[in-house]
Amino acid sequence: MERKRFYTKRRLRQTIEGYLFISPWIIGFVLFTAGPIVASFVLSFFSWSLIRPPRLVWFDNYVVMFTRDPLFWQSLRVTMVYVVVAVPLQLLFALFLAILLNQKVRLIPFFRTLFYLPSQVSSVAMAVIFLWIYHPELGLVNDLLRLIGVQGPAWLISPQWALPALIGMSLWTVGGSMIILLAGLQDIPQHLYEAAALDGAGELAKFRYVTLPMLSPVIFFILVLGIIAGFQYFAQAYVMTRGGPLNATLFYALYLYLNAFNFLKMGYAAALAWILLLIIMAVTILQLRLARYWVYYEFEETRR
Amino acid sequence: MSDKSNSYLKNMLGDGMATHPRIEQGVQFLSSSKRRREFLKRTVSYFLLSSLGLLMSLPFLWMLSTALKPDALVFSIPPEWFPRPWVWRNFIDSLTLLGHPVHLYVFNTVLIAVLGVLGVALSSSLVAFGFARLDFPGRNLLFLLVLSTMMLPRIVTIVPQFILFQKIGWLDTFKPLIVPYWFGAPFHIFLLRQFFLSIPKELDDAARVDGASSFQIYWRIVLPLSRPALATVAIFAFTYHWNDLLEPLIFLSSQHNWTLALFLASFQGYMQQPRWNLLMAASTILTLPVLVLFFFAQRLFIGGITVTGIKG
Amino acid sequence: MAADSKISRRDFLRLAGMTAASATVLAACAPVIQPSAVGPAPQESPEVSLPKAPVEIVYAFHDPADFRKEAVELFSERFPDIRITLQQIPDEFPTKIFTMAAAGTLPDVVRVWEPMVLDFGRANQVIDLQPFIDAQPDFNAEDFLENFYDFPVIAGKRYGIADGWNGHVAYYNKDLFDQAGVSYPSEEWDWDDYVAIARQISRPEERIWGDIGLYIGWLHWSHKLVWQNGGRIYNDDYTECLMGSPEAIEALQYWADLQQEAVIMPSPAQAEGLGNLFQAGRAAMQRVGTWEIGALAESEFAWDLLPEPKRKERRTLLHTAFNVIPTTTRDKESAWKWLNFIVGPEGQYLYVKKNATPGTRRSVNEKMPWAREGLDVRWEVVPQAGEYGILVPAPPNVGEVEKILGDAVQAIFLGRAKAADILPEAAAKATEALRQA
Repeated sequence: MERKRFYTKRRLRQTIEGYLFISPWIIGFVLFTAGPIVASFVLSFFSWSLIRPPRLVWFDNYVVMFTRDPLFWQSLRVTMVYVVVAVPLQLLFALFLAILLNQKVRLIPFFRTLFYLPSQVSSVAMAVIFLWIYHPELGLVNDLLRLIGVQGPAWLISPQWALPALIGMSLWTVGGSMIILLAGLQDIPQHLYEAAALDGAGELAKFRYVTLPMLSPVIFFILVLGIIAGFQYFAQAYVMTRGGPLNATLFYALYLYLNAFNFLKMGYAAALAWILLLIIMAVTILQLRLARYWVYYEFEETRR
Repeated sequence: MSDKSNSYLKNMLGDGMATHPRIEQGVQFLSSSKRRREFLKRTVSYFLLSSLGLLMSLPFLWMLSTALKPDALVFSIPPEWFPRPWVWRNFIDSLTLLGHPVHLYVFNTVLIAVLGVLGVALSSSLVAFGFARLDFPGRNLLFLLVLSTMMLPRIVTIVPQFILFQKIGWLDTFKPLIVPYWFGAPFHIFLLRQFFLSIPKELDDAARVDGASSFQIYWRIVLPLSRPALATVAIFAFTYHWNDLLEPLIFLSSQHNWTLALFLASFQGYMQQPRWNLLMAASTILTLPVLVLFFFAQRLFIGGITVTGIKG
Repeated sequence: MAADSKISRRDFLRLAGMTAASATVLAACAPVIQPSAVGPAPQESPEVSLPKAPVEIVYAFHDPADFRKEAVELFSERFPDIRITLQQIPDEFPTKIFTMAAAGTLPDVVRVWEPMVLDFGRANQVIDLQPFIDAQPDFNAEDFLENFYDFPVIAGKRYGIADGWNGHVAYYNKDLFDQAGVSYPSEEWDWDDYVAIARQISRPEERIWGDIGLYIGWLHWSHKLVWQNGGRIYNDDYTECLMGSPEAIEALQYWADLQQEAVIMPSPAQAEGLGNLFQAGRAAMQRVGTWEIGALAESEFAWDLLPEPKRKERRTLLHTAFNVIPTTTRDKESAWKWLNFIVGPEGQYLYVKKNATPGTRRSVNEKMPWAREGLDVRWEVVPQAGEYGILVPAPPNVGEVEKILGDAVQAIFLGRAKAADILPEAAAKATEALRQA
């Protein structure tokens, strides 16, 4: 029928156009990314010390990982805790800051810069200051705890508290997420709030029924990327604790790095990387599925 | 009288009004109570902003204070916040002491960052438009593929990538640091896709009825409406190139090709005491351009032109 | 069985390149393809006859390029047909070096760390320098300190030559000694003397300690304690880890107990994040490498140096780096000329003087390059360490072995485990990892 022909013609056109639009990425992927990715997959079946010829070991790397490597499980546990605790905390904190900075008060550009600052401070500088902030006797944190009568722990050298300390510290680096959320907040049309006000909505209702749905695409973005980044986090642990004390902050990506360039087991590192990819992939697909229930897009048609 | 002092007065005198609302005219009460609430809200906001702001800027302040300290004071115990005396020379020394051609590093870094930003913003926005506003088979799977390239840690692809760039003769040139970004970066593609998805569909339909092609919709409608998102991408890409250590370290070799991040890394020599004050001085200097850029550019990506009013 | 599953590096690189479908496409249209792309298989690179145009020799290292500018100038005068390009790798040195090694593109001469020189030698990544030395009449091998000269040798093949080095010594703060009315220690002191002095000086409630405390995350630092107590970390051919020996257990427990007691030194919790307590004038003594001298040059208190206190033996820890020529270097003759120059009396002196360390040649050390003007300390203590010290060990599979040992030592120093309980097991695991390589 006429209508149907029009539809398929339009669909064909959209398909061609769609692929044209995304072609830069496809070309770049084929040229620069696909090769190294495939190479790393192939490597995961080899034993390769980087300075000797690689040796094909089939599934040995994977078998060893799951059966004979306690540090693999330890690093997985540390990373899981980080993702489950730190990523939501970071999101909430960033959202809180973004809302705080989304007001029309004086000096707001100054405050925004102030809150963005720590994400730009070099990780070495961050390490030095936080070693002091967490100092058991002279540090700020335990000073505050003492005020409420609590004797604080030895934070970074305590196997129980080192990970929570790093999680707390990660809140200083939410500047990036804060900016994106802020941009998202600014994107919400004012008239929606005005309409809500006319309907007698209070602040809380406005937040619940206007802000959150309109911000959901951005929140979704931060959550997906936060989890991807969370699983690969290790920068600050590398500088501050080197995975210690007693492997309490041995993040998965840190252990992977040690395998690659310290233990010179590049094949094993590649196997670790591909297991990590599978885990992140599973979580991401789950998120994409769940997104249909809570992420609201203005541009609805394309969502199934 | 300004709003602020007005609400201040109301607040000082207003207790009675609040406890005996019936005395007041309804409208008047409403406005004064609103103002009072507004005032309270502001006070709380300022309090939160300043105290949290102070807390958040502690690392930077510490960096600054260390940068200004004489060698002997760097490790004083307990730590001291105020340098005695203030050694402003550290800022100059940090750039000149080891005879590095810092001006070259600045040029290299700016060149890489600017070319990288332009390329990544343009290409990522094209790709994001495809993913966000066009419907085609395989789209969702391809989008997952885009995301998946972020899921593999760099550590295991860096050696194959090094071999690749070596084979095509790109090592020790800026190409590996710039060209791949001209084909879109997953982070920015995803970010822009999310923003593009929040632009109402009616705009496309109206334009299509007028005979506009997809590219025209992208160029004339979506891009201009997405200036804040593009500016966000720009600042993220800029800071990425400005701060990244891994790629320059692996792909560059000659000292005249160094970036500022490599220069900063060279302060921590092995078997030598790093001079913390100079390291922090150099770090501070490198942070400043990003902050200045952020301060002045924020109008572009926050509180700039938004989609407000399109629907109305 | 391993034999046929082995493929040569060359095949592998081709495979890796191929799977990078990209590489082939790009290589076709790339304007310049590095001729040395894959590099000849290690053994078969024939000596290239010297071309007329200046040869470029790339020299890679981790510390400031500035330290070498004078040496480069002098060398260029002597050998105008060789151009030296300095390549400083400012951070993540092993990451970059191993990446380049994997791609077969190591620079012409590389200055590598202790474990790397033997690893590279075992893997046939660097060449035996002995033939070049034998052909160099003025080399004068007897001039070298044996400790450093004999280290990078496996089965008669000498894989590298060291230049500058650092040894661990004891530092003491004279002012704190005077305040406590304690007389300055003598060279012949032992652990018990050290601890006794520290007890006299320490006032922990005022944050004044006798010693700065143990370096918890630094495995090599703890090695010297074992050596001083007459123990060894590995046997001579690195087939067994000896950390389970009574000497090692006793040594580590001795200091761990003192640290837990937190009287003569801060507890790990107290020390964390405080930086260097000796520099801050809060600790009367420390035992660490001579690189700290630079940071103390302008300190407000008077200080001096001594050899580290001994127990059963006089030992300390030594750090150095070795200049090597990778097998992939094209012009090995020119590379050798540069290497010979920088480890030779003149070149070495220019470098160590700038870096303020001793050299590996006795003739260089006669000029005392480590001494700093205006500082009145016992400078002779510095080079002596080179005679009785031991270099950072370089076992095969070093990363994994040291991870096992490092975790155990950390647990002991943090007071989480007794040395006697965990060291024998850690040593057995380390031995297993040694043999895996």
